Amino acid sequence: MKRKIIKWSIIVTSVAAILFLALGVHLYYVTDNFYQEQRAQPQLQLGRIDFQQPVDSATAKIIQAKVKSIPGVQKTYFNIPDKILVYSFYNTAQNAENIFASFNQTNNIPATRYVVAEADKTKGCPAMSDEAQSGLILIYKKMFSIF
Amino acid sequence: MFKNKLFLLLPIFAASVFFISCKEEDTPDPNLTTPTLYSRVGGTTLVADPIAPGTMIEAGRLTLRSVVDSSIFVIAADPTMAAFFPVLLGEVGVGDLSGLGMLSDNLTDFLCSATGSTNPDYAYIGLNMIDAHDPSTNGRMGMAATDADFDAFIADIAIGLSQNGVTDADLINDLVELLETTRADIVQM
Repeated sequence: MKRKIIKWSIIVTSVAAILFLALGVHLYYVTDNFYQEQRAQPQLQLGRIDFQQPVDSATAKIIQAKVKSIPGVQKTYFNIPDKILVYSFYNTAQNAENIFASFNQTNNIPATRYVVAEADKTKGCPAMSDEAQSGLILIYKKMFSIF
Repeated sequence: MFKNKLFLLLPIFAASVFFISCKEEDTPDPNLTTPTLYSRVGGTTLVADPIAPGTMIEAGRLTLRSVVDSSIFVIAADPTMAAFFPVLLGEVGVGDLSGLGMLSDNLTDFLCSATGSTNPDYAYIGLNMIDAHDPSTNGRMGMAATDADFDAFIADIAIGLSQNGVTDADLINDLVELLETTRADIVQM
């Protein structure tokens, strides 16, 4: 009787271990694929130009049109009171340095390209942090967003 | 004798019917008369996703995502807010995820959940608002937010709403009211 119990315990434990391992491999495969697919896609990102002197709304429109005409630029937004222009572009098609250089070829208003300090890149809205999500929940979310 | 008793019960029955019918009018079913904010911005109706050809998206999420995406531009150009969102302007190379995409997804999830979406794919699963905005419990939060910072955030979202044609004053007020419910948790200074 005792041997029978031990035998069944070993079988049940082995099956549970195999299933657990299979689940782990499946989760790893699915989530790894998800991130690889995400990273392989073109990433829309933002660039910013700060102007050193006041810009009126008419000039702001001209500046926006100039920046928007640069290949790869998608959208622009001008904060006129603070003299800040923000634009978006896909990182597979352009980069902020090129866009600023192209814009400056025809720009007469003193302006600088805003560059984020390395230390500040680790900061941001807390909602963006993957650390803010528990590992298993994050895995499940990514897993179910695929299926 | 039995008929007399029935006769006595008749007024009681009539009164019960009267009160029950009045009660139904006084306390309407909230599901029938008070649509969620999510349904007011489009709800669960499936529409084509303009930025992902061939895929469908709930109209409510599409509206909220559009507002978030517009607001992100406003936030990135707002010197007050920029200090809280430096990663938005940090460049990433090919093969890396940009801050813009991540923030858009997560803020949209948050708004979907907060406005009443029940779609599990749109659920916000981040930290609670207190822990998320406490620099001592969240390393990404460089500094505590003030009331003025929160005011600036609301103002930026309002610009995002107007850029997306959300002009219904009641709807804007309700959305702002919803965001205001998080103020006490977010402002920790």
